[in-house]
Amino acid sequence: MLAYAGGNAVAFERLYGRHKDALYRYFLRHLHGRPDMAAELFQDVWKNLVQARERYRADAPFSAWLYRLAHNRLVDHYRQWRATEAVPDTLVADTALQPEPSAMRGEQLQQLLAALNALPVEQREIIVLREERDLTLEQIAEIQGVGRETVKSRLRYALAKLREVLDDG
Amino acid sequence: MTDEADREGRDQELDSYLAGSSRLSARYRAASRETPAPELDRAVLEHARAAVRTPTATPQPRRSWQQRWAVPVGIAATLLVGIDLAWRVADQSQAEQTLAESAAQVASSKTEQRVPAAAAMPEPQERKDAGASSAFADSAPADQEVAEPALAEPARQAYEPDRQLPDRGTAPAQDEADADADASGAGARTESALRVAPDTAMDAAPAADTYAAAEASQAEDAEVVAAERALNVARARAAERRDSAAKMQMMAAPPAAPEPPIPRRSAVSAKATAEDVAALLRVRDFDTLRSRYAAAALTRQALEGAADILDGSLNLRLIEDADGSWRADYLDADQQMRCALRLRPAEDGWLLVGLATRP
Repeated sequence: MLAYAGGNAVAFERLYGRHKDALYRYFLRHLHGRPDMAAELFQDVWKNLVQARERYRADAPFSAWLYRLAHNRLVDHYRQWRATEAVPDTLVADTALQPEPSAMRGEQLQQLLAALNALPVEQREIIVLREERDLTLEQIAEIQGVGRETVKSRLRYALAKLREVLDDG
Repeated sequence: MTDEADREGRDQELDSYLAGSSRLSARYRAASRETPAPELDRAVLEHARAAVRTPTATPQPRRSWQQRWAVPVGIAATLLVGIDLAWRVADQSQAEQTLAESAAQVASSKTEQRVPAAAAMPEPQERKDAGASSAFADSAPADQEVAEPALAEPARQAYEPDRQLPDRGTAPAQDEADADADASGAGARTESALRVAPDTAMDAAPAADTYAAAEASQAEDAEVVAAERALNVARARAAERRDSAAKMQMMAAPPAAPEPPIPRRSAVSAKATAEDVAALLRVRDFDTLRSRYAAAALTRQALEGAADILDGSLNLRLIEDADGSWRADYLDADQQMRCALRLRPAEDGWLLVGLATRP
């Protein structure tokens, strides 16, 4: 990121290649399978990153900084969404982006995504950040603006709910 | 017991998940393969390249008007204060320089005055001459040229209060060339000195020196007195020069004209003038007679009428002298001169320039 802030466009391409899929799925998991909205927020986050490139400091991992931007954009989106329309409570699988999963994998994916969708946003975000980027509890706590123990408690509740759904399935 | 078992089971589940060995993680990562569309990738990458090609990507926040005007206003205020200070310092330096020059003049004048008495004897005469010539010199028509001696004398008085001002009224008579100076011009120059001297003294007055401040008022009074005295002296000398000029004209005039002028009637009535002349002659008030008829012409009728009024036996005899002047002799019945008036011809008769009587 420092190389890109210095004017190296190739450095941004490498950075983008490493983080683009996980960031895209981060929004896809929170937007209940609406790829158009996920793509819009995804693009907004990268634009914000490009605009704020000179304010980046190397004292924190790039992933933490990137998902802090993503978290803020998602919060803004929720505020706008709640003001205009109801939040969809059912997950619609985006089969167009799926690499033709088998019937067994498709069924398990549907169960997993349905279980994630049933979680509160904060608990779901913890699971996504852990699975997509393997962020620590401290980094997630910083992104959410809460303490580490709060994140740990949320994660404990989330795991319990997911276990119930997945064990039943 | 059950709660503790549940808590221990959740802790183990949490530790297993954080270690990445949970079944949940395996299933999520196996199913999570979505990727953004290639069009979205190209749009993001193109935006990033364009941003680094234009270096003005980070807009500066707009500063408030106070921040934008702080530096110009500060510079302007500094310049104003600096110019004012420089102006004041320059004025003060000029005043100090003027004071120093005045002090140097005072010191030099004191040095001249303190020389031994034998050597100082001729000095008063020289200084009188210098003062008189500075007041009546013909070569000083401008106020500025007169101002310097007018300033020097009051300054010497200001720093030497015990020194007596030379009495110009009792000074010896000047050379005849000086006597020809124009009386009116001398008076005007003396008045200009009276006008200029206080202003010039005020230039030296703001001196910070305590001694100078204490002497300032005394110097100003001395200047006024000196100027008034000089004006009076100038007027007296002008009158003396008029008398001298008349005398010189009477003595050095070319031969008289063959026919005595016939005085014309004055605007003053002959009878009244004759009575007036007779009254003055009777009481021998020659000063009044001289001052009254020094400028007004005496007519023949007045002179004859006065003789009739004084004494019916008096006879008037008008005689023209060789120098062009005239005499009016009043002779009694014994042809003895009782009174004689020295006259100078004028347009309307004669002007009285001298008088002689016999008791």
